[in-house]
Amino acid sequence: MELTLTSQSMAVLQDRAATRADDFEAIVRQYRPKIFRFALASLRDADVAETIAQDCFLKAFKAQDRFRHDCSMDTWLMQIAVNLVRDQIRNRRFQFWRRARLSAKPVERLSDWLSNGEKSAEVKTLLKEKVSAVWDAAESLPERQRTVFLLRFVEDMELLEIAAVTGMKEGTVKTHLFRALQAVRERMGASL
Amino acid sequence: MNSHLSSEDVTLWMLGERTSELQNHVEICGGCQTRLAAETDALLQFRGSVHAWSDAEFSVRRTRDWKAAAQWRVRFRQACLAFAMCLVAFVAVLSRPNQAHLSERTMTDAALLTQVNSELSRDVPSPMEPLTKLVSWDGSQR
Repeated sequence: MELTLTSQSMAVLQDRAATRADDFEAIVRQYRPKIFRFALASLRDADVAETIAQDCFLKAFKAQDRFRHDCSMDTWLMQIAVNLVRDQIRNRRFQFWRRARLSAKPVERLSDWLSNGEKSAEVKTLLKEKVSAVWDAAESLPERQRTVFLLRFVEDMELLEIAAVTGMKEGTVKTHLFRALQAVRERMGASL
Repeated sequence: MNSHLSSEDVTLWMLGERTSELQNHVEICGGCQTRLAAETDALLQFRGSVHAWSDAEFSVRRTRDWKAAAQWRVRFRQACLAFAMCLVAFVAVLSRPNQAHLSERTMTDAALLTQVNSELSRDVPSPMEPLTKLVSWDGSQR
């Protein structure tokens, strides 16, 4: 009897584990592009961005029992990604900065990815210069300003969401965002 | 507000902090409208470029992942097949009787039988004949 119960419990546990794995697979499929994009925009290195995305989901999978659902899954995953990107930037600065700089994509080439609207060559060139200036300015921003800038203008997140993801107060986010945008705009103006 | 928007005003506008005073000015000032539209467009283009680059990289990686997985599956199957063939060959070699050893053993057996026959067919031993003389081989050696 005891053996039967044990095998039943084992089967239930196995079913739960399978369901959990299936659920998590769906989460990965849904959020992986976003995490990858944020890491890519922050670090400008597709290989490192891929590693960050994988590490993010690995950490989330290991810690999913501790996820208290006091924020959305999206916010929770972005919190992990922001921390991983920050660690990566610090590691780069102190250990691998030379190699990381070499492998990062040059700013001039990033503006090649413009949307194919029906614009004249002149307008396209102008936009390309502006987008290059934004990339350039974003790169030179301090870490926190860059993070809030990318979350706002690439991921379209609201101030409260950014505050939840970065662990800052809303007012602090607003200040960082203002300074970041001001710096980016100055660079945009100077480029033209 | 008679003059154009200041740099700080434009930043605040782009961040969604739009006071009624700013709104009133933008509604009547074509220059500020153009400026805001151009800067907003630049940020939208930046956003678009990040998304486009990310999508392109992501699809390349997904295709590469899929191809790598497919190649891995094919290689795994080939390796399994090769291993199975090696295993069958090894077992076949082990189970095959050694012909040389077999013929040598048959010859030894035949010689022994002949020897035994010759010992058995000899005459009855004489009284007190040493036992060692009853056999043709050296009984002291094993």
